[in-house]
Amino acid sequence: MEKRSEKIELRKVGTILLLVMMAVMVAVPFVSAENATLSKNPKIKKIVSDLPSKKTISQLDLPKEYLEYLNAPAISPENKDQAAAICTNSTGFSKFRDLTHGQISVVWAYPYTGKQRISTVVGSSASDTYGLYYAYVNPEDGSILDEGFLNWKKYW
Amino acid sequence: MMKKILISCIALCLMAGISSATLTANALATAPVNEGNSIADTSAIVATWIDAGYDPDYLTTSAATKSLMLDYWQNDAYLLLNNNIGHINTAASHGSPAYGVYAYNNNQITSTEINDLDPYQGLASSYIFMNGCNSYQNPLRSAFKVNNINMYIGGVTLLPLYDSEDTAADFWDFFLIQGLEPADALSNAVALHGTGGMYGILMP
Repeated sequence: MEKRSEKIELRKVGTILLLVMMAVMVAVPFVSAENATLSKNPKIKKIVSDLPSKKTISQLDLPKEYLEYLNAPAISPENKDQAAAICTNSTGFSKFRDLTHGQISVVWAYPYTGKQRISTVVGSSASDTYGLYYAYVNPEDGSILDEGFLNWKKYW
Repeated sequence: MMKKILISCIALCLMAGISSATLTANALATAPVNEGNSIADTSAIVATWIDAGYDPDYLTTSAATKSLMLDYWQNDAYLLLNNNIGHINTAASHGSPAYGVYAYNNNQITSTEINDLDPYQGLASSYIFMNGCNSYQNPLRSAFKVNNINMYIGGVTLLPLYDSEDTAADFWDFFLIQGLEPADALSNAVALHGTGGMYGILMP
């Protein structure tokens, strides 16, 4: 009988602890939210409910070119591989061939005209050459339209 | 009895850990690479924010991973101030399109990924200074704009190491400590560092 009442007591303690834990979990975000608005600059308080109601992206006064860019078709993985191979085999890339390079990014050039843009980070901040190699490719015939290198030792 | 209390305490600690991992900073400074004055100026910006009454987090070098930066930009519902000093995926000429922001280890956060963030959390309502080459150019600028931001400053040209990140640090001081309007704060900062004409400011 004593054991049974002890069990009931233990259950009560457990329940109380759980309730305390849940109360802490609920309270923490509210405390933080209150702190977040204790800015000395009243001009910048984050009041998400004051944001404009959800609009379609075409209602946000965005450039036409941007909307066209968003709606461009996806580039297939095969096409990306093909474009990357064209660039890394080009004469323009040859001077970077012995250096380490990062992942090759293939996207549509902006604004969208059907040209593709390939880029990859070359070297590292510890090496003499460090920057971004990029090229524009015509996927129709595989030709390189333009290419260049942004020197990250000098510019961001 | 003791065993139950112990288990409850462990559960409490775990839950407290999970709670504290929730992103609640109202300011975030990031510098994925240690170049120029990126680290020193990021520290100065964090100090300015604290002086102005904010509660910032900062991510520098290996801490500034793509996943963590996106986590703040997507999920930190308290985020108001953002400063990033880092490289941009753009070309070597002034005013070229900007396609993304490089996080640590050259992992790119693309403009498409920024465009697709929840426009009511993270970056929403934020004041953003993106100190990187051509970072004011599209598609990057519009991708940030989609997120209901309050201000966006970025490079309209290539931005030189040292002078540009110094400009960013002084902008926040002029804006938050000296109380100037953002455009005036930027004008004062560029005048100090000879970076006039290199930045654009968007106040949607």
